[in-house]
Amino acid sequence: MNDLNLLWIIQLAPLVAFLLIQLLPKNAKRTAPLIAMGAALLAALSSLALFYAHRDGNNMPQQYIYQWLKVSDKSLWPFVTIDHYVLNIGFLVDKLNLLMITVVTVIAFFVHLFSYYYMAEDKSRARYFGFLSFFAFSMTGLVLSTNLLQTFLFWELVGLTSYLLIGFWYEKQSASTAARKAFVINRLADLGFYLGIVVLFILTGTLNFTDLNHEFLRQMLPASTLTIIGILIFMGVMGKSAQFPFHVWLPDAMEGPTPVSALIHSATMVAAGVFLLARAFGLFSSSEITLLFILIIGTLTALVGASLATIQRDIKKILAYSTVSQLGLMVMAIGAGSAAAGMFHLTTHAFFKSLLFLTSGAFIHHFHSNDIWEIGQRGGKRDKVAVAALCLGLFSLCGIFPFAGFFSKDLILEVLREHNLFFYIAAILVSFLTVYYSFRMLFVILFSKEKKDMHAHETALAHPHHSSTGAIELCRVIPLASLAIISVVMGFLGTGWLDSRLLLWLGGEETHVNSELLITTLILIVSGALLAYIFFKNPETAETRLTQSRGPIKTILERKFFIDDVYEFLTKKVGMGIAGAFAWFDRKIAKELMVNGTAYRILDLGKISSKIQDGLLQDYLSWAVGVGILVAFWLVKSNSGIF
Amino acid sequence: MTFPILSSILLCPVIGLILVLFMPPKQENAIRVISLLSAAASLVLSLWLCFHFNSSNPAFQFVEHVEWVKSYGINYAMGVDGLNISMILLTAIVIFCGVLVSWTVTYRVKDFFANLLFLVAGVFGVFMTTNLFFFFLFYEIAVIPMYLLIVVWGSTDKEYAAMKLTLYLLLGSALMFAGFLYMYSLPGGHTFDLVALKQNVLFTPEQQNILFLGLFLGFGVLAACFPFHVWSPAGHVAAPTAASMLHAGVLMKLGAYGILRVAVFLLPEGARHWADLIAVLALCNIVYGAFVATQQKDLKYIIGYSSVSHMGIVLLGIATMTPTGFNGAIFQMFSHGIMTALFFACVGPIYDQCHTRMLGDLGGLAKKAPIISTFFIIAGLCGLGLPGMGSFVAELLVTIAAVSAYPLIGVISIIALLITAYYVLSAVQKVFYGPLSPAGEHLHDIGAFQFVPRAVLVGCLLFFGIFPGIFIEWISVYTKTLLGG
Repeated sequence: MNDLNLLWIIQLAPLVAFLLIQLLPKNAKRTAPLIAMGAALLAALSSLALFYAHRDGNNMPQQYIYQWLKVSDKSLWPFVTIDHYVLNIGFLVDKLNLLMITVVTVIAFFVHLFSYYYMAEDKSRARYFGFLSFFAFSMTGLVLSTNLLQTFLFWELVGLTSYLLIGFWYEKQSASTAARKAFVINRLADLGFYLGIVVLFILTGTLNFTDLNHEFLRQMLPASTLTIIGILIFMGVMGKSAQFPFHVWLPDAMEGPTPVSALIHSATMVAAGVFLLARAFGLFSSSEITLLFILIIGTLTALVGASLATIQRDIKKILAYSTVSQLGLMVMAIGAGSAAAGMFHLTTHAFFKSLLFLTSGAFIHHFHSNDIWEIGQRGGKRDKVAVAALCLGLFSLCGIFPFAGFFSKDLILEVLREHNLFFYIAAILVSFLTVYYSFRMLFVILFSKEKKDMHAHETALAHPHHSSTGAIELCRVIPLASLAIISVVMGFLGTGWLDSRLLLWLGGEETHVNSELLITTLILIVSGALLAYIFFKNPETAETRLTQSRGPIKTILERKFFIDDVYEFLTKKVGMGIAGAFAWFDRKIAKELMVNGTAYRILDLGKISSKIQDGLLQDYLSWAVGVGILVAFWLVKSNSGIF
Repeated sequence: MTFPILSSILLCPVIGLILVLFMPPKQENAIRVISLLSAAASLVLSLWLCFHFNSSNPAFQFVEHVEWVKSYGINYAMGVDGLNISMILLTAIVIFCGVLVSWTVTYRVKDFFANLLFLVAGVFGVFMTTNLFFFFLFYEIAVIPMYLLIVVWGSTDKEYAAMKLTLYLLLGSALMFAGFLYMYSLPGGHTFDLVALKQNVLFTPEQQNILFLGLFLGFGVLAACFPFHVWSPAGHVAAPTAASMLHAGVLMKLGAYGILRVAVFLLPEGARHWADLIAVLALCNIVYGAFVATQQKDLKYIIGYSSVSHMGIVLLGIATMTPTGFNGAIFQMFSHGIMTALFFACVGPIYDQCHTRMLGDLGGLAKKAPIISTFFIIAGLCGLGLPGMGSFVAELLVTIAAVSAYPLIGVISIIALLITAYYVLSAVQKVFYGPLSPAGEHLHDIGAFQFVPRAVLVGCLLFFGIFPGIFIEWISVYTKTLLGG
């Protein structure tokens, strides 16, 4: 099968599944998961086949382009040429896209599988799987995109599916509010993206990734313009990849079903921003200032995310803030000039973070709580599969040898160390906090004493469907086990033991063992874990201690650095203030004064003139005589008349 | 002479109207079927027209010319080019769906459908004619039934809204007729024929400027140009569902259509002279309309002000005076027409059954009526400019042109994308999400029959959103030649 057919299958299989699910009659809705899973499997296999066919990395990039819209307009661009100012859609196949599409489709398949277990009792399963398929379709389009506009099209569509899935349980007020917040904040960030695209298009006439390289851009545009365009487009990245200060939507997005958090809000969609940074690296790196801006934002994000993760009780919120901070690390790597390091961490993170989210889903589904203390008290540690997966994922997240995160995170640290000491220290701090919150979570779940008398726990045991039929149990275990295995193997692909395959593939340099760095990370891990152990070796006392403690740092962390308050001020006070003023203008000035005012004045005028018609003959006569005299006077005066 | 396709499209609703008038009022279903058949016939003919339209020919096609009052240059002249082919298609689609949606009307059925068909005949006429006298005549024909539809079948302050709407529209038409007469009086004029005026009359710059301003104000009123927009949301709210669909979907487009067809076509220099003013007013429309929409409590008022905001995009596209801007403006006219029709087609059944449109009284309707909710959300997504929908392409083209021509205004206008997302999603959340409100207890979802018109509208939005090239190809020859390029 040739490449183009494979690409079409990857792109359209999920869309066909989505449409089929919509067309299913009511009584056949239970087949929806199977349709969606089939499409996801087909897409994953096709992208693996595509990857395999191009494993040597030759003959790339390949492009398949279809003209979408011609905008060549002589009045705007007098010297327009034929192939410029055309908006295309199509498929771009190169190493970066191949890696990303494989990561996306494979994780999507496992999440589909896990969803079958997680959503087994939900009445709206068909809707859920339909949305999931639509997400797979949009994400594929985003990854295979040939130009910035196509990226933007699918960028908005993945945003839409994210909105629909966060608000999946729309009866819950918190879910629908979180969904709206996610969409609106992303929209705010996308204003910059949109404007950046428009300006770039107006000035250069092309949005194709293959055109956006240093020579072309520097020849076409001055440095300051490149900086502005770069920062504008980076704004979109800040929204989608939850960078400071747009990160606030991501923790709230955890209102969605947990497999969705695993797929969309940790592994794939939120990583799309980082992917775009690597994809259009030529554009961003053509300005030093843009790169510095990216680096600073990434650093702030990593620090804010990691510090907020340390105080959360909700297992999904911990993971969400952890995702924020890890995305910050990836952005830092790219800001420091190494797209390969960022993408490598994106890849490993995608696997171990989706693993962690699915594990948390297993806990939540089983123990009916998001709270790590409650999960521990209800017997979290007895779920052996989940605990094993949790340990694996957390070790990887902390960067413990030999798990995947070790290789990718150390690479980022190394890149930063060579780039700038200040950002290196910030990243070290982030790593330390990461270890601390990871082990805090692990220790609380493992060391909590079980409370046998808890009502919820009994009901959990009373319903046998939780540990029920073989097929559903398999749908729980297979994704966890597969993702665990992949996230171990994936790390080695970036090391010298396997010829640094993944890194070289991404255009990075071969890594070499750096003893200084190894020692630093070892110290980090041991001290972080130790600190967590000291605080949380006895979770019950830690809990009471935490609830009683007060202090400025705790307040700041609990209020999430007051960023939500700033947003609330901006919407409630500034935005609604302007809207209120405009609405007042509309009511009082535009409607009352102008429209009704005119109408009433005309009425008044009518009342005045109607007084003339009072029915008295002598009045009419005097009016006639008076007007007659005036007219005669005027005619004489103007000296040109009948006289 | 070839088959008079344009007159046939126009005659479909007229024949339907005559048949309806001869039906006994008791035969309600027969009246509905006749109306549907005539609307369907004009839709089929419009589609035929679209398929046989030669998009590479800049001149009027399918021209019909019948002399009427020759000495005054008043002739029945019809023609179609890239501009009005899309508007004819829009009108045909909206009336077809409007008749289907109106199936649930039970009060004075005969009068309702008669008015509806009469209105559409007028609208078709305005879009087709190339003679200014007939332009005015058809326009007046369209206004009167709209008044009756609102006053008799409307809701919420209907007498006030109907009177306001009618007076406003007549004010607009008075201004435009004065402009027409002035052009008629100029040397070389003495005709109402659009093409003849263009060829024969040499306007001085002063005449261009003053005439354009007059015509722009006249047409601007219809296009709900700030600050003459107040009639439009009130009219939207008061009108019955099908009338709202036609009103927001088609009637508002008459204004923007007139600006392009008459004012810009005849007076390009005047248009360039006033372009800055139009751009500023358009920006007011876009941003102001969006902000005011966030403050509304009535679902229909939200849609009304969103229309004000979206019509601003049309005006901004025109103000750029570039083919790309015109393309975007016309595309926006079309997709906004379809989109608001869909909006009102969704609000209609909600109001009929819940007896309220207030955001505070509604909630959780998605549980009761998933199909209506889905359609409303799709319309909302189109409104906030989601890619894959017609509006996105239209807004993209206008933004490209606006940022080139008026960088500051273009950049500020983008803010509306954010505000629109905010109020659309807030409305969706309040009406369809959350726990079910008492008002929604009796809501029934629409059946398969009522599914059809809404699905047609969604299909149009998606089709032209995914394949915008087809639409742009229709109109781009026209927009390129409009400014003599």
